[in-house]
Amino acid sequence: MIEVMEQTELYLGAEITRGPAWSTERRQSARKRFRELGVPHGRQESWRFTNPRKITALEAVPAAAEGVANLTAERVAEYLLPDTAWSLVFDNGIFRADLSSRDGMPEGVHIEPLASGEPAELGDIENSHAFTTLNDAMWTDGVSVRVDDGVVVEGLIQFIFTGDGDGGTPAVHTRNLIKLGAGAKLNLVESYRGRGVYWTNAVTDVDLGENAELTHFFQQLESEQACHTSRFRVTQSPASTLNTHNLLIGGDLARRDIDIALVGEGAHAGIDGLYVVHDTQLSDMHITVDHAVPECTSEQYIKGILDNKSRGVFCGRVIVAQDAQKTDARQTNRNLLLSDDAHVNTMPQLEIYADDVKCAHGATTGQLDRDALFYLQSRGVDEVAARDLLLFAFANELIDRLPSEGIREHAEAFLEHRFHSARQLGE
Amino acid sequence: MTMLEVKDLHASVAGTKILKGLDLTIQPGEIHCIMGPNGSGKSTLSRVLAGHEDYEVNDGLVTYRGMSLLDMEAHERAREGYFLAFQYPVEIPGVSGMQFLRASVNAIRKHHGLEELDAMDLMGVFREKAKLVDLDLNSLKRSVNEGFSGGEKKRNEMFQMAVLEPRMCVLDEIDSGLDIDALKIVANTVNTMRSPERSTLIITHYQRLLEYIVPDYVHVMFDGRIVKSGGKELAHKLEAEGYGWIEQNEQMVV
Ligand SMILES: Nc1ncnc2c1ncn2[C@@H]1O[C@H](COP(=O)(O)OP(=O)(O)O)[C@@H](O)[C@H]1O
Ligand SMILES: [Mg+2]
Repeated sequence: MIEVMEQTELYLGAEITRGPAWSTERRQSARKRFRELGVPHGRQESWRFTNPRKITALEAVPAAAEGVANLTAERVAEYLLPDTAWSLVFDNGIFRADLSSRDGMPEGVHIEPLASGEPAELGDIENSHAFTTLNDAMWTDGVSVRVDDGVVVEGLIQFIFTGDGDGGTPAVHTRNLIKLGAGAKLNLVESYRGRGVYWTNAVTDVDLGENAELTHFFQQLESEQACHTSRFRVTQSPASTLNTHNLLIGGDLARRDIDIALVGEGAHAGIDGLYVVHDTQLSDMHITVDHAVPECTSEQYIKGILDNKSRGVFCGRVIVAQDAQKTDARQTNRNLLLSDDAHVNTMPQLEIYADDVKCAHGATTGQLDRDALFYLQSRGVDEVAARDLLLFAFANELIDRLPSEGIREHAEAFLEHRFHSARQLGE
Repeated sequence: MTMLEVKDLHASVAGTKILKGLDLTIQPGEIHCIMGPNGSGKSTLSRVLAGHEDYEVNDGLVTYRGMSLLDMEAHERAREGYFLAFQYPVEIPGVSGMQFLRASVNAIRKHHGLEELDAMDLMGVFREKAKLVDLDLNSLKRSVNEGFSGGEKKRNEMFQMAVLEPRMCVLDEIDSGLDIDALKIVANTVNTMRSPERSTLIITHYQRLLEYIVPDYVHVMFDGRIVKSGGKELAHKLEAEGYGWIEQNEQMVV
């Protein structure tokens, strides 16, 4: 085990210059701030139930800027969703133009790799969440998307980020920037895939203009030896809509932080999440929805299925500011434990300073319904198949809400693989 | 071959003895009826025979069509044609009636070396059976039993029975809480399915259902045993005089 100081320097790497010139100054202050914050540890409140030791134990080093060209077209084909129209592919944080397809993008959509594109406005560096600060300092690449006012993009855009532990343990710091103009609409998939041991540390920032609508599918299907930390920060203008669907299946340790700022009246944020873990996996979701202004709505619907010795952490925070009257905020977290050794920590945190609001939250943790199991068995279905059917039933509600048929099929196929002998869904 | 032979069955749940030496023999083609006061162990018998894990068999033998029933797992019993219509059918949110039946039909077919049926084939089967129980096929899109009334749940059970065409049908208090129309649907299903290869065991508290289904034998269950058997006239006597005289007889025996 290396010392904390050394770990900090290991993460920052030797090279001072990284990425495009326009980012240098920002990176310098981020490096400084990361040194002050240090690497997170289990005694910090925000890491109380998710000890980051699994991440630090990897001793991952910054992925080389020139990268390795291991990713093949076959693997990309496997990662693509059936209804993807355009894709941008990154291997260990390096853009692979040869594996991407951007042809025929509609007018008014400006999409480019962040590192080689126009100088971008990344905002202030993160002050407290150390891994985001580290990302500020170390990001290699990612996608920058801008959609002009009133432009509606029908096709699905998929970002694919792969981690590859072949020949070292890379720390892959990905950075995405998504900006939708007034009335713009976009359907986006963020896929995280990989093999072997590596660490993904991604940050995606979203800015939704007035009446803009983003449908977002986040697919975390990392290698089970890898670690994953990601941050999704959204700022919403009046009457804008965000629907984000999160499927969290991979990673030995995976933590996803979602921060939504509802700063325009009448905005809506829908956050769906499904984590499915087994073995010694840990899946952590930290969600903060900040209702800063009146008449916004938010719904968090998060479900977890946990087997073996896996762990789940759900921390859902809703803040309703004093002025944010007529807020409607809902939060649900349901967990299904398939083994006596699986465990969940669920923590709803409501901070309500307004008086005319509707806020509802509920959390449940239970086992498979034994009566339902017996009912199925008494109709000839064996125990394994009966279990699978009930697991699907539990997950189905969220699968049904996925934004397209292709995405649903892909998610079902993945779950089916996980619940092995599960019956074909449908009808 | 005898359909079902229960010999000196003793069973308990959570350490309490419920069945205390029960004997029952059912031949193919027969309809039997077990009546008895609440708490006498009727549901327990139906669940022990279906293979529910919560019930412990302490003694006895059950032979089902030449097989040792108690050595079979619940799903194996079902695949061999043992069917229990539940007193309280379970709700399964998220699993549609269609998925449920498809899983069931195909598991049973596979066991008998038959090809699995696809959705189209199944719809054909369902359409025919739906008429028998007056079921709206659209209801199969809904989650199993979720949001159905008590009567509708029993109708769903009858539909499953009609689709699965079991050899041995056990109906546990199928009549409780049913109005007269629903009762007639149940009776019609049982009567239509009556055949020399099929047997039915009706468990009930009341004689009402027997106005529509004529049993070959009526048994009275008391404190975990069959204490009296006879023809359908026994049901009339129970209806007229209640269970009191059985209780008194039993106490005299003790
Ligand atoms: N799961 C159980 N746990 C404890 N006692 C039970 C359980 N199931 C049934 N019993 C008891 O067994 C007895 C018989 O119940 P049951 O078989 O339901 O009778 P019946 O169907 O004739 O009314 C009752 O005294 C009941 O309380
Ligand atoms: Mg009963």
